[in-house]
Amino acid sequence: MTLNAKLLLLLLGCLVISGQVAAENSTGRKVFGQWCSACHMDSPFAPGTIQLKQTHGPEYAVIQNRADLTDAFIRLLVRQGRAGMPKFRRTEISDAELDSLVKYLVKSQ
Amino acid sequence: MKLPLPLGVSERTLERAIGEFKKIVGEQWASSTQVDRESYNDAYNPGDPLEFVAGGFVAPASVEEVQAVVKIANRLRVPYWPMSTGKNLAYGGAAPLVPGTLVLDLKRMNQVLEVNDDLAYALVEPGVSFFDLFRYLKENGHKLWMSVPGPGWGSIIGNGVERGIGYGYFDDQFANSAGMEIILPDGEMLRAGMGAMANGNSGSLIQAGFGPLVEGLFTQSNYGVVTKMARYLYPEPQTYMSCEINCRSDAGLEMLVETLRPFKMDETIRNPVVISNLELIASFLSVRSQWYQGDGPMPEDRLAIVQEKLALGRWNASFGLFGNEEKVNDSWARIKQAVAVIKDTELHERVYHPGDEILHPRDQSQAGVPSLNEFGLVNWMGSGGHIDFSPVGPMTGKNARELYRLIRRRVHEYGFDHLCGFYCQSRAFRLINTLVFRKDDKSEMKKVRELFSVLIRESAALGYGEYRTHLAYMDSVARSYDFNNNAMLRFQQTLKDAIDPNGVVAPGKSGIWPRSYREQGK
Repeated sequence: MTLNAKLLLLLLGCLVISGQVAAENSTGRKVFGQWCSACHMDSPFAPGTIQLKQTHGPEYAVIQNRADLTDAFIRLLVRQGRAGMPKFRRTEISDAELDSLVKYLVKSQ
Repeated sequence: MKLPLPLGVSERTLERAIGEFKKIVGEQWASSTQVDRESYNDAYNPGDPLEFVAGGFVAPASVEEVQAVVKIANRLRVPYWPMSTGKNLAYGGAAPLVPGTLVLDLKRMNQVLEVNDDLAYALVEPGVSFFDLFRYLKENGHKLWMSVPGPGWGSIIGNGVERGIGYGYFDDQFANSAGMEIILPDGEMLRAGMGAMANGNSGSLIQAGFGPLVEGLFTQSNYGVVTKMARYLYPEPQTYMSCEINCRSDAGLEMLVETLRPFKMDETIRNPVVISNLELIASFLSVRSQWYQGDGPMPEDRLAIVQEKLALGRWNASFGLFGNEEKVNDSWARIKQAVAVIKDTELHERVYHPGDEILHPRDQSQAGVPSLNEFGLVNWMGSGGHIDFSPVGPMTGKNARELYRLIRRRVHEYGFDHLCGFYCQSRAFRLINTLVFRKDDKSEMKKVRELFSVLIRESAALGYGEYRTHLAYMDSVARSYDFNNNAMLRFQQTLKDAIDPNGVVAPGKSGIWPRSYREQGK
């Protein structure tokens, strides 16, 4: 295989991976929009944002802007709930959708 | 921990049912693992989260699967608790009353089956939430408005069969619905009203057809599983005005009720007038610790600060006016003239036309835009517990004051803030009192439980009954409907025995127990 062919394959591989990431982010964004944003959007009326601002400070209020969210933490919160936030069942957010949501929130740092 | 089981059901039978369900719905959609069982717990139960724990779940994706599942459950005599989206929060959420009951989770049935622009209705499955239908209407260009309740993640059907209230033009969710399809405990499908004609063309349009009205029997009941329902929608109006009357004095309650009732009566105001107290609105916008960190109800001097900082009234009435510009302006002019006699009031109006962006939370709710803005009240005390006490009373100032005084005094005696709102229809109000507590504080939860029983008893003694209640109080509230030795409940139980002789659908729902449980003293 020539160098050019190898580079082309590498490029195609990168495109496929970035396409997958984009698709996952798109699904994750959709899941966020469907299930999370009503409470956690950047709004003075969003209950989750109000709560986090009070308990953790303004820099932690909007979860999409946070850099400290981990895979395990997001999964725990979604499936177990916390404080005023109820848990979400598999019939609401499927395991696959939760994977995408985690990737979206962690990668949006 | 040993799994609690419903009366007459063995662990082996339960597992056999789950095994048979899996063949119908697929391996992943029926389970009795601990994680899955506990995922249906009431997140806000004032007490042990496992008090109302499910025995497992089954989640069919179609009417045919529902029929197959209920036939199996009926044959094996395994009870199930149907839920649409499980967001009946403050009333028990998704949890079953009898521990070990399986949850029949209908969330996967999430299709909007039809939207009719000319006749303004939507036919939906149980898993369709207000958010889902709103998105569907937007994405498909329908100029139709829903009537949404406070939290928008609830089910259109679930809220309808629990007889909830929306803020929009069509306030009573059940009264403004039709086209109910029901799966009976033996698996037979029934369509109520005009839908009972095999080739009927009006099933989604009006309740009732010929003979006794059947639809109501499947609200707040345990006679079957509702799998379809149509909800009326409101054609987007030329003009929408969101109106607020904030009364700075507590003494204004009676006058607000008396002054606004005629406008409800003649349908100048079509959606519910909601008269919220200061604490309730403050809980949507802030947390208690911002204002006060002491124990007991927030003192009067702090309430005055909250009122000033948030620019609210002690009583805050809100409603919408819908129609053409001339009609809306005329209505508002007449209402303003009438309320001018109430001292210490501030009036606000915000006007919208098609295409305008609606940002204010209350204006959104009245225009059918679902949100979770009101869900902020769970943050009031810090850890989210809440339960609603929801009695009904005559729409007079005297009755509003009497009930409010009784409840507020007791709520304060027990050391809680009193968050409440009157949801006013023409002739009656529903006074929704949200008791917010710390769900990590056992003594506080014990107090809430005791307080709730006191409120049921003392309100009932004055003639006020709850229209809807939490799992823990279904028996108490059912007993408070006590005319002629609870004749209504006895009739409901007679129906239960006839429709569901094996007692498999939601044992204990609304105080209605199967014969087998009654024989054991229920």
